[in-house]
Amino acid sequence: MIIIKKIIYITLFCSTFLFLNIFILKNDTNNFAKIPILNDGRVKTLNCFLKSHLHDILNVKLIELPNIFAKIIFDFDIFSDLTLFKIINQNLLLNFDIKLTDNNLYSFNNIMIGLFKNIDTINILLKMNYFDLNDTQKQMLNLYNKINLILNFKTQFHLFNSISKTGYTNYDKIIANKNNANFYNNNKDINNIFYIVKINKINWIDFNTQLNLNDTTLLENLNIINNMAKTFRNKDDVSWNAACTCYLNLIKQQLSIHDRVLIYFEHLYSKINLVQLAFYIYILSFMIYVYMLVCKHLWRYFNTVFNYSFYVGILFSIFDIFVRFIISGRPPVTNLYESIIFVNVIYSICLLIYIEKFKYKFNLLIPLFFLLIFQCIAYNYNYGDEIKNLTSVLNTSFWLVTHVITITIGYALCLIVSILAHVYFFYKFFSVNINKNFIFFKILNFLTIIALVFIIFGTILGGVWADQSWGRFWGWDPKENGAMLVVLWLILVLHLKIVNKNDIWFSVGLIFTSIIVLLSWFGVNMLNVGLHSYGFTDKIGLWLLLFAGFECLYVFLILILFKNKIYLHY
Amino acid sequence: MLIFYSNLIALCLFDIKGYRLTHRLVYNIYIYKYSIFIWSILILITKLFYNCLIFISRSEIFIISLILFLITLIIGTISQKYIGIQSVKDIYFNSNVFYIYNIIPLPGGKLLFIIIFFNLLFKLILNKIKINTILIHVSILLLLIGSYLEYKFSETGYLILDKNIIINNFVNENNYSITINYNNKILNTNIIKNNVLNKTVIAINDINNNKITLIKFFKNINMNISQNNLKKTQFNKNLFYDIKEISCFVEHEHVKTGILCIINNENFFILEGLTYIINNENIQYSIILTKTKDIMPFTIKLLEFERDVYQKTDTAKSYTSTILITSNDLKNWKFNIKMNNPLKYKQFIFYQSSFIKNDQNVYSSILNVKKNSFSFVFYFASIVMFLGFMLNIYIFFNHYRKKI
Repeated sequence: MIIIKKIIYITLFCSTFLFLNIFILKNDTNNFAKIPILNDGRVKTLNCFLKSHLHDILNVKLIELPNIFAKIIFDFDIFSDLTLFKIINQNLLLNFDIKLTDNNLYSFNNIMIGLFKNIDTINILLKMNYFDLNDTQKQMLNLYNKINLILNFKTQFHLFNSISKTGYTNYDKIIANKNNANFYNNNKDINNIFYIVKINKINWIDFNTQLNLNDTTLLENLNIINNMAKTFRNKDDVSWNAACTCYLNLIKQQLSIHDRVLIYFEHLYSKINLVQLAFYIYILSFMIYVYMLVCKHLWRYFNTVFNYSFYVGILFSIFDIFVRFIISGRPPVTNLYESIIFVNVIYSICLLIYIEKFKYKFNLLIPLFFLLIFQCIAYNYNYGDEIKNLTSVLNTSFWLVTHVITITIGYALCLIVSILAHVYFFYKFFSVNINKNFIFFKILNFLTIIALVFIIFGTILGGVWADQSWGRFWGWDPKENGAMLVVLWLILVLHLKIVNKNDIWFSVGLIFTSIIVLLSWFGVNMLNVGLHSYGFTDKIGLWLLLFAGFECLYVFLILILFKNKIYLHY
Repeated sequence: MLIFYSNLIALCLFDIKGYRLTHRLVYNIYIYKYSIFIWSILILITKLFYNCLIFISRSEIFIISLILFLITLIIGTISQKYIGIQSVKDIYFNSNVFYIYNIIPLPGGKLLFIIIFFNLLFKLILNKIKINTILIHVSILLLLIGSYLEYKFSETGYLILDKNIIINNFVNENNYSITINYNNKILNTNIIKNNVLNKTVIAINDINNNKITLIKFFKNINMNISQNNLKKTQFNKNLFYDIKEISCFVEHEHVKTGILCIINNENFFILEGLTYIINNENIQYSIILTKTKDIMPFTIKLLEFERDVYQKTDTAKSYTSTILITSNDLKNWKFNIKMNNPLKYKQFIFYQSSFIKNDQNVYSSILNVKKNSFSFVFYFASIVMFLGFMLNIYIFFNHYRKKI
């Protein structure tokens, strides 16, 4: 009953919070950010698109992104002088002949001059394997790609660019000469990253293919965009907002109800940032728990606050996954970021069960600390996040539910086992309550078997999926090997316990499970080979090394400090 | 128990000897002593054999094998970045021994699997273990047996289906054949099975009893024009190359597969897919090395290929091939093959793999083919393992529920 009561209270709290957000969003006047576009085969709002495509390129706050984007497509001269590109690498600046600034921010014009000077080098770098390049070369190439993307945005809207500061656009010129040709055919070779014009229920069109200027709906669309461009350049805020609202309503009419609901959810999701919220709430929970440990006489009051804040954090994380599930219409574990938030949810739910079951019998400091670390990783990965369509081989809900979710739960359980082993290891030397330690040992043992079951069946289901899709059960792909590594490690730890009755080495083995899991989960992505091509990266190596060092140090310090106690217990 | 059986065997042997001797009414003390000696040796051998089995079934052996396998797995996985998955499979996982920096020997995956297999097998036979552990161990044995059967007997390949073209064979990925064409007579010989040379000489009786001696098969090579005339290998007329074996990236487009052989006392390197004209005493014949085409007992015809893409992108949602199968027992039956939805027919399984688009924007479908699949062993092993684990959890939970 108490749990049901708690859940009702917390759901009410979260619902109120969400409704408050919806209310605030309803009064959000920036209609330009809400315009629906087609990108990567999916309808989304401009704001979501900019969050995933422009936020990591420019040093701009999320809220200012739509305005900066409007400058790129409608008023490029102003944009090109803004110092928005962050360059820290001094070698790169040296190559670009750019003077160092205090805030490390440089304008588009500065960078273009630098790139022109190095165009021969860039052409050579483009032909080389990206992962063989050094850090400066990689950054140069990244900057080149970013500038290309910005230029692509600009040229995609070439119709609405101003003609030599006259105030007239290319579109005005075409309309003035409309009698000469009923079709406008532009031969520019532009890669259309997104589509913003929808003239009927089915088709999205771009400005670079043949435009039928007799089509009244199309002309209506283009007129409004032209109006938007002019009002933006004139800095006429009232007319700009009116034009944006008008265009938003026009596009919405062409969308199905299903798409309209989905883009509303996605817009809400991109604005609220549930992962960030959950992160802050977990920090609060952690701090409350620390107070609980320090001020034991206030335990009763802090306990309730801690309990509720932890529940709220979990609920926000679950909401996050649930909203992604609704938006994407598929199981929400298809890329590295989604797997991180899913593992976080499973981890926090396991921790909650653990708290409810044992009522603070054991110290929670280490598990909560690790929860913060995991949430922090999710928070960092959130910036490049984008809900993407699945490729044909992944486009199967059955296998995504069975294999991916099972193995992700397996990873989460392995992590919780490893972190509880940290606590057990700590208890082994600090607590003299043998009965308490025995119970803890049994919990660990039980959880290890459960983790092994999930990870082993996740791996087997992956094999069955591969057998169904490619005709091979096992292919020695790095990700498969990673999963096998975790399985074999857990089997090894369990057998070590059978052979050597000393539980110290069992717990040491379990502590190192977290390193193995992170190697399998993130480490193999550094190899950049294999079929599981999601989340390829080359930046995580140092962090993994630091983490492994930290784990070794933890075990080493406790073993050295309390080496006499090891023999005392046995 | 085993000692008892060995005693019994030795006693039987002694008795038989004694029986024969009494019937002949000759009693020889030396033979008696000789029998005692055999008996002792037999007991010793049996005991030694039994101890060996006990030793192999020890948990320590399993743990050491597991640690070694973990090391092999880590090295093999990291090596994939540099030499590709196919080479890693051959060097680390399908081998008995591999060397680090060509100096330190380490056991390969194959050897370790054999050790783990016998360790688990003897543990099951010789030790008293609980039913849940038996089930889990049996399932792992089944997985290993399944892997062996799959490795030994399964054939994999692919099939490129052009629209409305009838086809009755598939290209075997791991087998190669040499085709010799002389006076329009075609001699086709399968020389490589599972990437291993299984024939050393091809006799061509029609051409004055000529022969081709096969020396070595190279999955991928690097060819440089030879500077040293002594180490020459003829590749084409008047062109001599140094051949060096290199790692084979399956995903790499330029894989040069070939075979080194001796024709007319000259070294020849035959590259896959190229036709070589050989002149010998005014007799001319051609040689070509190709992947083996395995015949299927039915024909396949591609009726339609559909590629469903996401709006305004090239990203495919799904591929579907509609095919028509014709065989003796099944006349003109239509099937749809999709990604994640293969077709099983007789001992063949067809998987939708990819597609090719030609200059006229016409699509050809590529299907992966597998002959003699032993996947059912894996599925059965998985079910046994699941039962074992569930039983394990149930026993564990029941046993410790009160204490926790």
